[in-house]
Amino acid sequence: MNILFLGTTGIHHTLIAAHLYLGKPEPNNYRDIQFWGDRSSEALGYPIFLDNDEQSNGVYSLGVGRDVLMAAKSIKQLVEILNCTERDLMIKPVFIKRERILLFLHRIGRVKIVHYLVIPIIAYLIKNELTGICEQVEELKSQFRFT
Amino acid sequence: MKIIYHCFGGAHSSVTAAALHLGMLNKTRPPTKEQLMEIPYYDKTSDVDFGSIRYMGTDEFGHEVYVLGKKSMGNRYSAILMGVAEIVGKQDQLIVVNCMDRVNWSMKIGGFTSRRMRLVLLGRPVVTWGTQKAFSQLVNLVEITRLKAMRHDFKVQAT
Repeated sequence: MNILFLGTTGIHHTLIAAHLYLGKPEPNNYRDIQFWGDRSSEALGYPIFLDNDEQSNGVYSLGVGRDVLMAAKSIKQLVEILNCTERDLMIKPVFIKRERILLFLHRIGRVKIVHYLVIPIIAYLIKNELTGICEQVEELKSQFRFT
Repeated sequence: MKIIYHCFGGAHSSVTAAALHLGMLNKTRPPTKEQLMEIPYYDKTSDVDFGSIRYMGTDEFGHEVYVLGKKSMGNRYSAILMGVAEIVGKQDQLIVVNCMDRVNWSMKIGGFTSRRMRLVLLGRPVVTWGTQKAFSQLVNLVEITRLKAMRHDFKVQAT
């Protein structure tokens, strides 16, 4: 099975959620996490492979822009069309309260100089939302316990 | 093989392309307004249809054709869908086609007026006129896609 963490961007809160899910310790500096703020990987639009979990499930992070639920709906339907099930791909949308601010910061970060200024602000923003992200990860883990 | 045509609302260009692919429309001359309105989903979608992959039919080679409205997500959506297909190991069974680069201003304005503003009486004539104008472009896109699908079939047969 594969697990896809879905969010407005795939290189910030979604990446942190996947990182926590994989049971990796929270680093002091988010820059130590592979793909953190990596705009070139995000720009490709493809899911970013992070690692395999304890059950050898592939864990991915994907940024889909403003409409996360719409993308989640399309992906779920695509999986069905391709004759696969939730056992092949599990989708976990990850949300934070300040989605719009994050997306705005991410967008203005297209300018390279701004990008370097924006990254610590995003890190601060996500540190404040960490409890919520952890809850969503726990929710996913508990889903596994029941299935 | 599954072929997904996608555009902003999944109501005009993608639906017309899918209809062309499935032989519902004659490729040699632009369709009339009545012919366009006979196509399933043409100018008939609502906001809840965004993100829904809707089945349009199966072509003569057994390829299933679908349409999708993805708002302003552009080509990124093709990458997202292809990426997901790759994760489940089915990337060779999927072609995703963005119809937005074949859409003219009349289709954009007419489509917005008819679907978003719900002013059907005003928007529909503009969007159908625009579709007729963009028809040759859509035929071209569909022919490219059909060739891609055929090339894939030959590859599968060869292996």
